[in-house]
Amino acid sequence: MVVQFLFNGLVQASIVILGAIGINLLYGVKKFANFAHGDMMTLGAYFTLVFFGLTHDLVVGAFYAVFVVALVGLTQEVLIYAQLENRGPVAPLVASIGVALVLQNGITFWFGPAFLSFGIRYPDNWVLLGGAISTNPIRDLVPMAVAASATVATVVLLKYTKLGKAMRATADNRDLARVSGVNTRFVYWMTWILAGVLASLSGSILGVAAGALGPSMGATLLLTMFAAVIVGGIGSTWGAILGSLVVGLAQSLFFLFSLLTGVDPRWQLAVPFALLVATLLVKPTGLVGRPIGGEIRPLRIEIAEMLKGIRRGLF
Amino acid sequence: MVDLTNLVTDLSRAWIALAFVYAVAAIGLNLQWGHTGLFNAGVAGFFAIGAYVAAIVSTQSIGPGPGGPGHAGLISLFAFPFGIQIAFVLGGLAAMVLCGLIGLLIAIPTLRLRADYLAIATLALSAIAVESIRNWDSVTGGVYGILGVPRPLEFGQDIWRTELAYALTVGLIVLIVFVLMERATRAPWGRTLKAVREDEDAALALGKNTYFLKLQAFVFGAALMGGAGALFATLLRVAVPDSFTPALTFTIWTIVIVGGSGNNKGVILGAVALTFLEYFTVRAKDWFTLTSYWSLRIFYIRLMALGILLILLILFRPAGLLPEPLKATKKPRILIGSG
Amino acid sequence: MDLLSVDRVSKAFGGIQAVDECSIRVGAGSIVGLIGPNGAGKSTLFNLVIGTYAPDAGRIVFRGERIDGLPPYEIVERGLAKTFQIPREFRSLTVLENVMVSARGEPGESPVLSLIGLSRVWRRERELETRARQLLSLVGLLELAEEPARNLSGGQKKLLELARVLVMEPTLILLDEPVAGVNPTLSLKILSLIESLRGTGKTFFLIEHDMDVIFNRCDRVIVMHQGRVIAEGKPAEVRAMPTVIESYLGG
Repeated sequence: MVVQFLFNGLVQASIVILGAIGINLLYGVKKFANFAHGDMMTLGAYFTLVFFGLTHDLVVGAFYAVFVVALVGLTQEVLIYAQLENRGPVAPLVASIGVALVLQNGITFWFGPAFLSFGIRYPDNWVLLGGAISTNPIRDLVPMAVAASATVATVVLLKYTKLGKAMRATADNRDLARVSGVNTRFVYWMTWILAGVLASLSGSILGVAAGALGPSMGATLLLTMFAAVIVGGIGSTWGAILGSLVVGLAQSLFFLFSLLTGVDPRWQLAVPFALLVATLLVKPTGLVGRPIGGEIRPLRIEIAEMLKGIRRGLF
Repeated sequence: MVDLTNLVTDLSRAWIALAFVYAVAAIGLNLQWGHTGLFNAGVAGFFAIGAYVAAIVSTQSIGPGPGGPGHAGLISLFAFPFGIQIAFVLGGLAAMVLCGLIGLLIAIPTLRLRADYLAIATLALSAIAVESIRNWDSVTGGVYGILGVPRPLEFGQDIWRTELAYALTVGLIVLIVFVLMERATRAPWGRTLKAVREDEDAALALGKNTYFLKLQAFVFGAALMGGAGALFATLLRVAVPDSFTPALTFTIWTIVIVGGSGNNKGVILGAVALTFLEYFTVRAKDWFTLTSYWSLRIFYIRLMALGILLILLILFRPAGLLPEPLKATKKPRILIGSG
Repeated sequence: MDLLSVDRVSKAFGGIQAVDECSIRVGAGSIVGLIGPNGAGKSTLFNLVIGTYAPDAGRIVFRGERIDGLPPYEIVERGLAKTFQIPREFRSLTVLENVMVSARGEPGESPVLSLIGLSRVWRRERELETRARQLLSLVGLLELAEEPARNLSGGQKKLLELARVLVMEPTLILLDEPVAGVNPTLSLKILSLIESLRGTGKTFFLIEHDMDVIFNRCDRVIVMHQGRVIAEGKPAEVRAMPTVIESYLGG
């Protein structure tokens, strides 16, 4: 029984992991939180549907969608984010909110607010591991497979290729990377393209898992993805992976817990957020994250000083 | 004559009173963002909490039944003359206090981190708040919400009187809030907050306890949003979770940006103007009998335009949006001096 | 008794040892100069004293009380103040507001009191404004009082830094390159100001690269190099030390 829920947790993790890795990449290399990432996923899902309709092949559809989303990501970089490079973390964040608005409402405008069916016929569930797990090969296993392979491919790219090393160097210290000969402009472009590819795949997976598309489907996952990134540790791809697993499993296990103890199962939706807040409280750098720069004093010292300040300063 | 009273009712309720309610929240956000540079992406959450506190204080508790899961209600504690009015005031104050406390809890861990962390954390808070409200059936009425929130002044048949009276009440509240806020921000406190916004490290070196100051600004701002939420519930006469979407956060943000960050007068004007715009576009549907295709689409086009406007503003007129100075990236605290 | 004593203080960032077991004494009523090539750790030392960083090791004692590890607002409360090497004015506040905001312990800084609007708050405001204007007149910026600080020239910003630090009524003032990049006339003005203020009981500890300033104005000079104190004494003595000459030629 537990195994089933663990498995479900993995499925849930697969849905957010690619998006989380994308967000993390953008955060690490471009130094900002992309509030439009969920909508990039939605874009990928919808274009998968469009190309699916044109080619009658889901895989091909997803493939073409990737190009569209990558292009959209690149356009954002060239038009918007390249101009905002030295303005701190808030300026691009605000811009990304604008982008999110445009994307989500553009999609709603074009495709309508109603849910659109993906038109997949799901086969019957498979039973694995001697009856311990019941799973649907298309709804659960396909997303997992895609997520796993894309994750592995990304990790390999980041670790072993020249581009990957350049990306990591730029994320670490942009100026140092520049003077060491890295073409940071190119790195930024490739980062957006990669993030776009992952977002698109993520959206396609989401569509397959959900069976239907809605204009806000990606945006609804935005917070969960942020939770995954922060819990795992910002600035680290492994952090994003780990965070996604933790969040997915925690959510699923909570669901099991709620079934067993009679707690309202709808609270499981709050699990990622609770983990997020807990991380910020206890260890803001996350499970495996790098320091975000600056000396951060432990919480209890901040509270102690605040109390002192209250006594003196408030009155 | 009948038409006039309908117009007064409609304008009071759907425009004036709503504008003033938004104005209170916007003044709160202005304190956090315009004055102190804190990015609160969870306005809707504080609104929701405030709304539900007021609703619970002012209504009768109901047990579960065919109409819904029921909800908590404290009005029976106010079974004396002017009980409803007192409940209104106390509900509002309770909303402010609770939101201030929750604001404190959220701010304590996040204010020592970067600005975008606060954005994410407040976004998360808002989501948790609304989700919790949706789930906590027995107390909040779940998805059904709480109905029948009373107005402090009811005039029975003369609906237009009731609506107008409430619009004026909220207007008075806005006035009081405005005067107090202006006072506080002209005082050394406001000046110091601006300094913290401009250059926190310099303010620190001058001996300001910037963390504590930011906390103060955030808490007071959150309290104002809670108060606005209470006024909101009373205006709508209901508190339902679906009213508190990110779109609401967005509306308040737009008001602050349009009105001019840091400028409370502008914010109030912005609230009135923006609410009128919304009022007009919704009524326009009825007045001009647009085809249903376009009437729906206008909504999305408007939001897309807003998104583009936001991007353009951030690119070319950040001073209107960002109170941050345009020097190099806020370097992390570890600065290696040149000597 | 020494006003300030820094005892074998060290601070490292990443792998770099910015300050390495420095010991420094500043006596009350004196003007002490701190010199050294770029990267010697001077500004870092100042930041350690004022509390922006906490030392990894060592002690800092001010007026007989340990202040290392305390946050800046507590250190400033005890009578220390520091300027910035590159002036950091509050850009959208006026010159006058810049000075007024620097004052310590104004009751109006409490949100509750300013909301209630006690007459005490407003009276103090008026007193503060008078004092701020006097200081601005002292440094020669009075006509620019209502200008947004971002409109000031570099030299004027330095003067503003000085006025800001003076309104805090500190006992010990750390000046980080007070006359760097400032024209000679203004320079002279600033330096005579410092001298006359010393006469009123203030103590100055300053970083400078201008050797004339150091050797003509300072009672004592301390030389840092690569994070360490390599020499100290009267200006004339230090000037002639071979280690000092070497550090400047080599560093």
